[in-house]
Amino acid sequence: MLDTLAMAGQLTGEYRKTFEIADMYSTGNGCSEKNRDERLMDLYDMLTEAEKEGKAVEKIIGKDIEQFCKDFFVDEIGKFGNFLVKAYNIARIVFVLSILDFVLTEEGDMWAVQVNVFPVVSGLVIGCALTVFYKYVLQPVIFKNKKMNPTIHALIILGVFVAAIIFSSIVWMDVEVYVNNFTALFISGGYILGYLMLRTIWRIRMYGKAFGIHKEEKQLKKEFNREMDRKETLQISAEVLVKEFKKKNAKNRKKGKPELTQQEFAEMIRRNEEKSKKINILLIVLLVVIPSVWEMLTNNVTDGLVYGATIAVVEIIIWYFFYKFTKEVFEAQKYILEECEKRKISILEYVNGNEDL
Amino acid sequence: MDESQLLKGILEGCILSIIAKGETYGYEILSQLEEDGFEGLGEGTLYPVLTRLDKKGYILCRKAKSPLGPIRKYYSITENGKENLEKFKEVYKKMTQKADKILFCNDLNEEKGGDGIC
Repeated sequence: MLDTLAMAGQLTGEYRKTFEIADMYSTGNGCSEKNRDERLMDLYDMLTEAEKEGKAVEKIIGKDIEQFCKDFFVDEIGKFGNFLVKAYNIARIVFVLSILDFVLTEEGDMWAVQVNVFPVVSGLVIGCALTVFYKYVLQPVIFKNKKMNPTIHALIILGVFVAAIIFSSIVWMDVEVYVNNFTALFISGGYILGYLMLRTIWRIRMYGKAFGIHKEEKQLKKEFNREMDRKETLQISAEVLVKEFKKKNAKNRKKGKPELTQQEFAEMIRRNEEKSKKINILLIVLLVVIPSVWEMLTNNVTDGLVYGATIAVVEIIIWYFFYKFTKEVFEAQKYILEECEKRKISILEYVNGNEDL
Repeated sequence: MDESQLLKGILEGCILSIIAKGETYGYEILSQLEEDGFEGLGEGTLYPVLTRLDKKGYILCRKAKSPLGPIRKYYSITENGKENLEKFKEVYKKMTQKADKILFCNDLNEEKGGDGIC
């Protein structure tokens, strides 16, 4: 999946707004993820080049953005193809649930197990209701309200989704639709098999092979997402650096101290990174050692050690994800400061005139 | 008059002709069309045509990283596409000659005092 928010962040003004509108429109228009990504990437490519050349957005999308979106986001596989894919996704869920019911059943005769398929039915109803809401309520607003942006849009969809689930679980709390587990397993399994066979035949006819047809594309997308992440981190880091630099010097001025030079500021950032690393390690050790010692004192040594090892693993995993971002920001800040030193420019000059950002 | 129906028929041939000149991509095709007078087309019109040409096997689509970063689709013409383009040119020539005769014959004859080309 593409990081469309990061992509929009690389564009400015009307180019950005156009991309955001197209992104919001494509979220709920029924286009498959693959098609959506492909089209958004095409649009992004065009808008990036248009922005660089100063070409008007109108030349790319025409005068009517709503019409453009309708023409542009049409699923190649058609409505029927889309339906088959969606049914395949539902069949997979039903199949897994049926298998779980078989495995977990406590009844003697596993073939007599009944499975409640109402959650799937209610999911379908919620999905249909959301589609109607999206098409007739939210979509018109995207084109009319200029304040609507992808974050607000995503929050509205999430809010309506959560509300629909709460509503359905209250209203349909006692509704249960039982189907023999074997029937559910047979139908879903049969559909999955049929679908996969059809897909294989279609792929062989289209691409000459059944597997690995999108391998190169996936790799390209992965690299692109990585590049977008790097750019986004650089942007955030640059903003933070400028703000920090100004703040630090304003503080110094207030206290009557001399202002920091850029080199001194770079040194301060390096020191901060070291400090942050040490604090993080200390925090992990404390969070692991204190509960483990407590466990040893209140129970026994073995329990304490097992407990300590378990939380150490959990803490390190959590810490890795949090620290990963901080580390990336520090790396980006160091890169910006080194670039500034190399080019003999200020951070502000770098931020204002750099193509990396 | 609704130009879109008329445009629909010839756009495929025109785009195929642009691609026949060498491997190219969406923005370049759009710019070329604009340069040649097809203004205000937009990607919404171009993209379905490219998809159609690709499905028919007239063009090949290759994806690669563009100099500005995004993954770009580069289009090139296939042998099948070349043959189709030649056929299109022939048909188009004949059609426009016939249409010219019907549409502009009277005007030309009147202008030239009855001794027009028709």
